[in-house]
Amino acid sequence: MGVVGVAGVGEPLPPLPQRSGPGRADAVVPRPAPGSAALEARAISKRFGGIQALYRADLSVAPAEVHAVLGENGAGKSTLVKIVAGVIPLDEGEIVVGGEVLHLASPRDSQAAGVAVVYQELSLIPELSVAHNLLLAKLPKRAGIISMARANRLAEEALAALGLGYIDPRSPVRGLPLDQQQMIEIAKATMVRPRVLVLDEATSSLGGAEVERLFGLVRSLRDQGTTVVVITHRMGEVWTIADAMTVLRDGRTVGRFPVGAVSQNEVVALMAGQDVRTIFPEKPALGAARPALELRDVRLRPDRPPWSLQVRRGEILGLGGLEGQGQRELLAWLYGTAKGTGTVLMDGRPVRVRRPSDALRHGIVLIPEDRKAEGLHLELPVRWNLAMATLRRRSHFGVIRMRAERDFADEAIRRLKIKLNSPFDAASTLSGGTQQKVVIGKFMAREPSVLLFVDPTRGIDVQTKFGFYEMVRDLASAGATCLLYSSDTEELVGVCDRVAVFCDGVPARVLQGEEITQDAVVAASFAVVEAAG
Amino acid sequence: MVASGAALGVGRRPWPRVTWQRSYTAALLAVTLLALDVVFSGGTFSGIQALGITNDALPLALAAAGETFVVLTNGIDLSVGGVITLANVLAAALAQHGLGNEGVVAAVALGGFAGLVNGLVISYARIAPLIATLATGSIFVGLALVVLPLPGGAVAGWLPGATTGSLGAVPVSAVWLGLMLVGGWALLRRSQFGVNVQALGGSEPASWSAGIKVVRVRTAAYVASGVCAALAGVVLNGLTQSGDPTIGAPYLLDTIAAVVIGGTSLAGGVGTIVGSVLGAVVLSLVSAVLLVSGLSTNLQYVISGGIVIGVLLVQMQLWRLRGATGARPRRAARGGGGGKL
Ligand SMILES: Nc1ncnc2c1ncn2[C@@H]1O[C@H](COP(=O)(O)OP(=O)(O)OP(=O)(O)O)[C@@H](O)[C@H]1O
Ligand SMILES: [Mg+2]
Repeated sequence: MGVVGVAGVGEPLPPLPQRSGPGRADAVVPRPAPGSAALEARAISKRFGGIQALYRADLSVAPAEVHAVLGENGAGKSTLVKIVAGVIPLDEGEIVVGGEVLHLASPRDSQAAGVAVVYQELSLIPELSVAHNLLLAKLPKRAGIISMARANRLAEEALAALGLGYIDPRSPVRGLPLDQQQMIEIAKATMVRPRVLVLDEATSSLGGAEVERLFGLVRSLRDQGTTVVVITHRMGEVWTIADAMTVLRDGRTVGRFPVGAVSQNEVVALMAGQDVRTIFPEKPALGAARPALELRDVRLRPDRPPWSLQVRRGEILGLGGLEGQGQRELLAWLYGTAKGTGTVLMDGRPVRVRRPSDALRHGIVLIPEDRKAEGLHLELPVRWNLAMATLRRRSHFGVIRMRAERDFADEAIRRLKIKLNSPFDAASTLSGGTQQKVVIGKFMAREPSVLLFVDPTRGIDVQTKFGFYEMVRDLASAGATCLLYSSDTEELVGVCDRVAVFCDGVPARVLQGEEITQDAVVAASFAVVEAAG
Repeated sequence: MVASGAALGVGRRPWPRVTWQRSYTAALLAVTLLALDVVFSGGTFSGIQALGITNDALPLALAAAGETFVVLTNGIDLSVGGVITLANVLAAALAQHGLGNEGVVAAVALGGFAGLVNGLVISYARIAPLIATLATGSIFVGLALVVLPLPGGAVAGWLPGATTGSLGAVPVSAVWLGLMLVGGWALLRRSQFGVNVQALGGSEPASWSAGIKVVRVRTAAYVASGVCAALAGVVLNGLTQSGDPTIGAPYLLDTIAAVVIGGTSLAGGVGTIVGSVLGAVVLSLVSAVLLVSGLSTNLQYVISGGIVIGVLLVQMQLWRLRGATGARPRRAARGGGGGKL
C-alpha cells in the first residue's frame, strides 16, 4: 500500500496549514491554476434553509488523478458531489469540467460532460432488474423497441468486468444484499466510461475483498486517463488509493495536499478543527465473568452443522469473516427477523425471540445497517426520532411529558455531536453519517442488556467513530453484552474482546486476546472458507 | 474463483417472472369465474354471453390500462370518471350535429388535454395527485353537464360496429381486449417510456439522477390515462349509441379496483397492463355470473369489494413468502467474496 506518486498535479501544493481553530486555515487554501484541472469547483456556495452546507468551497482535480475529498459528517462532501452531478442547483460558484464551464440543469448535463457518480445513498430502483438499473435511460433499442436480450448481455459484460459474474442481470435488485447493490452502482457508473468518476462513500458497505477489487478498477481507470474523486471516512483507504486530497470543514475547503505530504493524524485534526484522539478504548480483562448470552445448537443454515457459543457479561464479541457468511443472519435471528434454529439463554434462562418485540422485551436491541429503511422516520423531526424508542419512560398515563422529551433528545444530540440546525429538522435533511448517529442515539436510549450492531459505523466520521467506540466500551463495562458485525477489520481488531470468524453460517474460528490482529483476522477469514471448500 | 452463478441463482427468480406473478391472481380469478359462468348457464357458453362480457369489460379495461401508467408512477388519477363522461357526451353531442368523426377525434384529444392539465398541475403546482385529480375530475363532470345536460345525442355511423359488432364468431370487443394485452405488454416491457414509468414509481430520486426526465414522464403518464379514459367514453358512446352525463361515475372506483386486482402496486413501480385488463374482465365476469346464477345483481359491489381485499391479502402473502426465502441469496462458501483465492 505504498503512497502513490503525485505525477500529473500541475501546480505546487501548499504547505500544511497550521493546526488551529476553525477559520484560521481558510487563508491558505490555494486558488487552483485555471485550465489545468480535469474537474474544478470554484467558490461553490449552497444553503439549505438555515444551514450553509457549502461556503465558497473549492475543489481542483488534476487529470488522471485519484483525489480524495475528506471531512466530517455534515462537512458538505455529498452536497458538493450532488452539485457537480447536477442533482441539486448551486447558489454561487461554477463547475468546470475539462476547461468548460458547465451549466447544470439536471444530471443529464453532467452525464453529457462525462461525469459519472456513485451516490452515497443507494440510487438503484429496487423493483427493476439489475440490467434495467445499469442501463436505465440508455437501454439498447432497435427501431425504438428495447432489446432485453442485448441489455442483459451488456449488463453481464459490465458485471463480469467487475468480477460480479455471479449476479444474474435479470434478477430484481430488491433482495440483493447491500454490498452487491453497491457494486452494481459502481458498475453502473463505470460502464459509461466516464471522464470523471465520483465515488461518494462507495466502500462503506463493502468488505475487504470487494474494496480491493474496486481499487484495482480505480487504478486501471486512472491509468487509462480517468479522473477519480473518492469520498471516504476510512483514512487507510486514502493512503492506499489517492494521489492527493482536499479537506472540507463546515462547508469550506481548508486544505489540499498530495498524499505523501501529510500524516493521517494531521488530516484528521484538520477535518475536526482540533486534535482528535484516535486510540481505541482499552480492553479490560474479563476473566471469569458469567456468560450472559449463551447460544446452543444454533443452525442458521439448515445444511450446516449446529454450533454453540457463549458471550460473557461485559464482552464485545466481533463477528468477522468474509461478507455474507452468516454474520448478519445471526444478528437478525437473535432479533427475531430471520429464520434459524437453536436455543438462546440469557443469564442461564432460555428466551424465545420470534419477533423484534420479544427481543426488546428481553433487553435485546439491534442497531440496523439500513438506516433509511429500518432505523428512521425520515419525515419526522430528529427530536421525535430520538425519543421514539423510549416514549413510555417519559410519559404519564400515555401522555408524553414534553419537557422530559426535550431534555432527553438534547442530551443525546450533545453526547453524539449530532450536527443540525434545529431538533425539529426532518431526519431526511441530515447528512448520511448524521442520520446514522440519530439511529444509534435512539436505540442506545433503551439501555439494553444485549446490543447487536450491524456494521454500525458505516459512513461515520473518524471523530464520532472513536466516540462511538468509547460509548460501546462504556456500555459493555456497565454490564451490556455486545455482538458487533463490522465490514471494517480495523474496527473488529480495535474494539472486540474476541472475534468469531464466520464461514457459511458457522463461527469456524474464534480469535481472542493477542491473537486478534488485522492480519490474523483477514487470514482466518480466508482460511476458514478454504478449509470448508 | 468467483462463485458460480448457478450456486447463487438458487431461489431467485428473474425480474420478468416476478412481475408476471402479480397478475396470476387476476388470471386465476378470470378462469374460475368463467367456469362458474359456464356451470350456472348449464354447461354452455354462447356467443351472446361472450359478447356481453367483453363489451362490458372493454371500456373498463381501457380506463384501467390508462390508470396503470399513473399508478405505476406512484400517482393516482381520480379524474377518469370525469374524463369518460366528458368524452362520451362530447362525441355524442357532436355526432348529433353530423360531426361523428370530428366528435371522436375531439373527445380523444380532449382526454389527452385533460391528462396534460393533470400532469402539469401535479408536477408544477406540486399538488398531491389524489387531490388534484379529484378536483379536475369534478370540473370535467361539470363541463359534461354543460355540453349535454340530459342523456341523448347520437353516434358516429361506424362506431357501433367497431365496438359491439362481431368478426365471425368473435366479438370485436374481444379483439380489442386482445390487442390491449399485447400492446400493454409491449409498452411496459419494450418501450423506454414504459421502463421510465416503472423507474419513476420505483424511486424518483434514483430516476432523476439516472437522467430520466421525471416531469415529462409523469405528465405523459397522466396524458396516457386521459387518452385511455376518453377512448373508454367513446366506446361507451358506441355501445349505447348515445351520450349520458352520468355515465362515468361508476367507472372511477371500478377502474382502481381493476388495477388493484390486476396486481399493480398502489405504491408504484411494479405492475402490468395485462393484469389491469384481466382485472376489468374479472369485474365484468362477476356481474355476468350473478346474472346467470339468479342471485341479485346488487350483490355485485359486495363481491367485487371482497375480491379486491382478497387479492391484496393473497399478494401480501406471496410477497412475504418470497421475502422469507429469497431475501438474501447465499453466497457459496467456496470462494465467496471474490477473486482472491
Ligand atoms: N436536502 C437538504 N435539506 C436541508 N439540509 C441539508 C440537505 N442536504 C444536506 N443538508 C445539510 O447540509 C450539510 C452538509 O451535508 P452533506 O450531506 O453534504 O454532508 P457530508 O459531508 O456528505 O456528510 P457525511 O459524511 O455524513 O455524508 C449538513 O449539515 C446537512 O444537514
Ligand atoms: Mg455524505
